[in-house]
Amino acid sequence: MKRRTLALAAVLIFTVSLLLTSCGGKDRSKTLVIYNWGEYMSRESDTYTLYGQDYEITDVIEDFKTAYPEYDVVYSTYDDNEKMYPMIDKESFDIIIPSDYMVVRLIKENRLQKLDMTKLPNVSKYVDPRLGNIEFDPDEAISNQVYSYAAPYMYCTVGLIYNRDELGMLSDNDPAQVWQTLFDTRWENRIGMYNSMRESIGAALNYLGYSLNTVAAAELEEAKQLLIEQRKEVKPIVGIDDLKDKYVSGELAAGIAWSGDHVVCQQKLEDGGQDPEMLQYILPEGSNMSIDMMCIPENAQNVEAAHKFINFMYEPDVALKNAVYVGYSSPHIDVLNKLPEEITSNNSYYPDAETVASLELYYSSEEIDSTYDKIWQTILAN
Amino acid sequence: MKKLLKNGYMFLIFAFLYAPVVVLIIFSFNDAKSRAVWGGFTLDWYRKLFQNSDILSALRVTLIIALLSALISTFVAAITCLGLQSMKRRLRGVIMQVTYIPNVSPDLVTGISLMLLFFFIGLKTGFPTLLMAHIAFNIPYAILSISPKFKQLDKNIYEAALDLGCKPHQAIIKVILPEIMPGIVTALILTFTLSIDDFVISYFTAGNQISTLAITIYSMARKSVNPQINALSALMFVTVLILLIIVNIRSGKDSKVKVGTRGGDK
Amino acid sequence: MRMQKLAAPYIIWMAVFTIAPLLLVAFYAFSAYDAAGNLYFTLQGFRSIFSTESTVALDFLGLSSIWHVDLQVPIYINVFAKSLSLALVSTLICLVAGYPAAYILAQRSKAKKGSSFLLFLFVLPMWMNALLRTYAWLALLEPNGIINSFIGIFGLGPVQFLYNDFGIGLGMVYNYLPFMVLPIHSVLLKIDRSVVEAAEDLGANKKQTFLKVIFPLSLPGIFSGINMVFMPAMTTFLIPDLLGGGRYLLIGNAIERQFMVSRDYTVGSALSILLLVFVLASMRVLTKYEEDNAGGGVLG
Repeated sequence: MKRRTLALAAVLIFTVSLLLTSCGGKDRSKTLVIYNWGEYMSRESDTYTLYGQDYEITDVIEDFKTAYPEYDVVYSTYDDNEKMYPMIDKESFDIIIPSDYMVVRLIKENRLQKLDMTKLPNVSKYVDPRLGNIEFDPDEAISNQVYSYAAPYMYCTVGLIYNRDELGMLSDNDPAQVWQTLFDTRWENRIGMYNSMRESIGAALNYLGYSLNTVAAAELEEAKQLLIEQRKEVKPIVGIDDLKDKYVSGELAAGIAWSGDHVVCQQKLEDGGQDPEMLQYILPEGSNMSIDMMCIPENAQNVEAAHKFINFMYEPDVALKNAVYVGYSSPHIDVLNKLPEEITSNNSYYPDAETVASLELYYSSEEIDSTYDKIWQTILAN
Repeated sequence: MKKLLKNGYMFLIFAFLYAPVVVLIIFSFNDAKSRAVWGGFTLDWYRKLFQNSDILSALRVTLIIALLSALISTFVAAITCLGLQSMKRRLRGVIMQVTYIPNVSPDLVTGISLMLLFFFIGLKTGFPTLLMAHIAFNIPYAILSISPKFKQLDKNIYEAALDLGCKPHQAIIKVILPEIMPGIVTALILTFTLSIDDFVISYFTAGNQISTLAITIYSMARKSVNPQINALSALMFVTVLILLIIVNIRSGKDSKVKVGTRGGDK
Repeated sequence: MRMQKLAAPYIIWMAVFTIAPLLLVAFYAFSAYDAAGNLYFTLQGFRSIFSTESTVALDFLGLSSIWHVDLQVPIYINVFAKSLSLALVSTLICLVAGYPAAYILAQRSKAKKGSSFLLFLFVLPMWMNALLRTYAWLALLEPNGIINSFIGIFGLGPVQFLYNDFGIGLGMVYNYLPFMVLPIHSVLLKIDRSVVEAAEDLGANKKQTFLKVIFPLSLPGIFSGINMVFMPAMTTFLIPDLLGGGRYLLIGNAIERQFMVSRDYTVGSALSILLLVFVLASMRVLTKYEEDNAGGGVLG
């Protein structure tokens, strides 16, 4: 008798498990699926101190769930636009946050939905006008469409982060001067490079004095050889988020960095009781500015919640918390007033119109995407 | 002298094996984010760990997957072994050969091939695909744990049970099941552990929206220095230690030998 | 017993989850999607692996980095060669370091009649996730890590342990050493005491007994140990990923990248097929040796 109960129990467990499997997924219409860069949204509660001012940080996703209890949120991250790109076919996300050139590519490929601006009152109310006149694509028609598909999330510039104690202060923003540090064998094993195609090739092109969007074979070949040579001789450490700790600890002396990462590094230094000025950032002329934007993919399944989320992220207090945590430049005018002036008046973080004009955005076209990808594959295999 | 040499050598080997483990455990109590500086004793990382929703949900997924895949694969393996028993030798040989394939091919290839399968039949990656992948790599281990018990089984007892008036299902449950029970228990423990430990195959078949503990640790370890990982490792190590001690006390040598059958990166 | 039918579900399962996936890898190695999303036959995958369009100096066992031989080969061939040399060297180190350990452990186990507590201690760290164990080495080996801080006291260093062949090799040896020790240990354990005594009675000294009797008898354990270390070392992508500083591309990473980043299933599958064939072939060779050697053994 006892055995029979056992067997019965086994069968029961089996059926229950099958049931569990079949309905393991949650109700998709009540789930918001977000796909974002790593360490790019406030996900913890803490107090941050920026230039003497205290800011309370909370998990903004939890805040969203409190404001909209009907939704469940699934949040996952990537560390490269090119890594995100193949995933949006494989799975259905409701919110993705790609960079400008990737947004353009997705628009060209019809992979994004138009935003319903009537559902995003906060966006139109608060978005920073300095981002209003950006050339996202050589084709003006496409460039003008970008904001009907995407709402700016954060932006940054690409420059050199360096340890002042080792390199001294750099002031010459001539790209050939700034970037030469990356190719200097003096810093063997102590240079940080992003594991990201456009940033790596872009810095090399900028150093050589070429456009960040060149398709001239000779120029690209030169950049490719330079980067291969760098891998062999300088032996840079390649990463994304892991690099920040290495600058802070002093393991790395200099490297390519998004301006927002520099802010985060300084915060980390301050947290650890060190002098935040130890790490400096210099923006070379003609370097890149990049704007990450919230978009809704064509195959999104919860467009309603996606709009609510985008609008929610533009609530002044939410945007402030998030900007303080993330450290990148906020496109939210109200946030600008509440952040310390030392940050908002820094031309490298919040470039003025003139500086914006001197920077170049990455462009996306079939030719650029495929040639750059080929070059990147070769560099990686070395 | 010789003994000293031997002891010295074993000491070095054990120091090598345990140094990283000890470091992880010690630094899980370190009141500083650094991995090199000692900043005083704290339990903060453990507290943060239990508030980390990513880790907690990954833990839940890992345990559910491990439990389900262990139960299902052991169940399937048991009835399969029952069936194989009365099969022609040649055919059984072929089936066992194929069963060995996942054991001998690299995890990387197994993971990729399953991912391609799901992609090919248009199945979105997620909980179901992850579970199927785990069952797929667990079944061979379960079969290999159970089939030896069938070899030891006296075929006549089943017939005898039937002769004595048992119905076939009664004979199986009352006569055969108790005989193969040790194999089933081994299979359950082994598949459960393998499933918890797996990274590579899960990595390719889980997709983006769910994550096992191993996948979460992987993405954390690749990012910033995070002492929560240390706390987690310490907890996992102690859990495994306790489990192993219990298993060893219960079943003597039986389960320890199985250690050697685990492969590679899993 | 007429219960063949009970195996039927598994046979179907096996066809779908063991055989079909492997066939699919082979299938994708020879096909690609056109713009309309239809599959077509192509040799593009293999062609780009063996393409001589961009080449690098072959670095097999330090050929270009140490001996400065400039032999230009396609990039993927070099990735393969680099992985192979790292796997070979790590396997060798595991063998050299692991054999004495297995020998001593076996002596202890024999003295205790069965597996000893020492053996238990030996396998214990293996039960911790490979990811975590590998991650732990970062803390030890970093330029500002524990070992460097320690030797810094004596005014040495910092030594660059990580992000190079040393770091990766160490990660491999650490992770796979038990796979070498355990099979050798179990074979040594099985050697009949009387065989050893017979050799000694016949006048062999300790060294001779070891070389002529014990070592040859332990060969099957060595072969299966090599098997169990070489295969994961050749195919790992975790270890170079965690300890390689992001710039280390071994064959495992190359395949992972093709599937997870570039999403070129054709090249990825072609690489996987080549790797699988290579690994299975080398296992086959080893197993054959193992069988040949075990054939004439004194073992029961």
